[in-house]
Amino acid sequence: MKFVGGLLFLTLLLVYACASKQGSGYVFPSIHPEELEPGRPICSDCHEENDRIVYARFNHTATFTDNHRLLAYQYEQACNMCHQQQFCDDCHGVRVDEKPSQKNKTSTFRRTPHRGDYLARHRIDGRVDPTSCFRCHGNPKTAETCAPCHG
Amino acid sequence: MKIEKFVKVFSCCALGCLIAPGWLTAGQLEVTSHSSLALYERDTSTNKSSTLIPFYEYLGLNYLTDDEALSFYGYGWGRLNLTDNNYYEQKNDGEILAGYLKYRFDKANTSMMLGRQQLFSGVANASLDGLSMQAALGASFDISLYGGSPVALTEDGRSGDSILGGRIANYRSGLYELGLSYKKVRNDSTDDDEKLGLDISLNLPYSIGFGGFSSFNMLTESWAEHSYEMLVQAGSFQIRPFLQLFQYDDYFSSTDSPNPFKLLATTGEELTVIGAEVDWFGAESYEVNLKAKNIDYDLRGDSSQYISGLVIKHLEDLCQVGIELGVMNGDTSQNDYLMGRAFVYWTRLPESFPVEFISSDLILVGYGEDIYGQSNSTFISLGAGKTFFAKALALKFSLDYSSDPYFDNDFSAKLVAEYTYGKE
Repeated sequence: MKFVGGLLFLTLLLVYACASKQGSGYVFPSIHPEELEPGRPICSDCHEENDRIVYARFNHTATFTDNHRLLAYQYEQACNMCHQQQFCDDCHGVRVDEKPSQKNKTSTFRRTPHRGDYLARHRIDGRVDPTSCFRCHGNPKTAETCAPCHG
Repeated sequence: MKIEKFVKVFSCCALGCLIAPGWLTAGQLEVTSHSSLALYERDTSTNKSSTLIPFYEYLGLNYLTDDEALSFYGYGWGRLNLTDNNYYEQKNDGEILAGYLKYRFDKANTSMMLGRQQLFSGVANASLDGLSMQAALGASFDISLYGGSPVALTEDGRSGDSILGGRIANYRSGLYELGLSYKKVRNDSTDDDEKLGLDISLNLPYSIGFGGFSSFNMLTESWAEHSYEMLVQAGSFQIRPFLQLFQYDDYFSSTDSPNPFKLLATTGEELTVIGAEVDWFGAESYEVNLKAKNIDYDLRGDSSQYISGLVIKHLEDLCQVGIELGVMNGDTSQNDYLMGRAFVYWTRLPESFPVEFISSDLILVGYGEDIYGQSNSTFISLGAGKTFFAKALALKFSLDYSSDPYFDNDFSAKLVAEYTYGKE
């Protein structure tokens, strides 16, 4: 019953959304309109401050891989303009056997987490701030890598 | 079984592509393949230093019609262990990470996705088999809704498992965006997780941005998390102060929380992280990043500090060389470490070189207290690669050495072939 109600609500919403084209606000392009040069994009070099989103927060600084979480929660569509789903799935897929640093060993420019001795260092990082582990390993499937030691 | 499922799904996709050439020519098809063969040694339950040769295949398929309205996306991985040992729990394994049809309506920023998909929307960071949609409501509202079965909870059967939720956002370009999100997960017909999220983004004067996120646990009826950051741009400097607050009993409280997080949900601990990052984009393509944060524990009554510095010289493309130093000053000496890293990804090689890039990574870590009798670790990785057929095919090779508390003089090698069909 709930499913039918939900489906009906979705349909009504879709009809309303389509009918309201004239009043539509900012539409994220499905692909970034201009092809970007390879390398780390500094979005604020081109985007102005009166855009819908604060593009400076998307500047791919050296530590952007550590800090992109809040942006993805809010602006997944902005990420999708340049990154195919596959790019995100390599790290955030529901269960990936290889660590991102193992899959892409030669991509040293990516600064992927868990490189090198991280199996040893995670004991410390996990004690210091376990919330950072939970975000990616907080469900039974993604925690399969934890299970051999942590049960 | 899982590898069979993986093969079946992608075989069906490939067959569909082959028997529908007319359909295909009416759109754009991209197939990506990442195949790798690794070689290393590990102890198993029956043998010491067993040789492992895992073969991995990551296959992606992306199809888009000419009018860019309808698309299909599929992605998954499979692993074959080419050696006869019991290192892996399942000798061969695999997972379908995504497989969905997406229809993008011509109007009102509206799209629908049906199938297995990964969601990032407010409080949702989940993989589901189901339906999602997003749409613009008028000139200043966006809405997204989703419902289906959570993929992460399939181990004990899917009966009674469900996930549903959505996010509504109000925005005014150049000024603000305010989002309200909701997520409810049921596992075996009992409430597993129910959260309400509030996110905000402000575009303030003087090139100052502010953004963040709070989540309220509706099952424990208390705040789980507050995470906020500010971004200040001043010339070639970018300054990012941030603040995070977590209440363990509400943050880790999902009934399906795995170990070791399940135990943390009963501690009553509260964590406060406060810190700042400064980036400097200097002359000659140098980037300097300094980061400092203090991690404070309410019940333990102590705190840890992490300070790091990073210098990178960027050249064209992704060509770069960098060094990084990080110091963790833990609440106890058991939680101290000093980490140094130097890395290179170099594409400016003479044409006479047989490869197009070389890469290397060196990570040295010293621990405050020995871990399994080891006070430090060394990791070295060397790699090289070359592209063929107008960059459609890339071959990469890497050789790693590691000496750390878990692995003593560990060598591993890996050969990777990446192929992309249909990329313009």
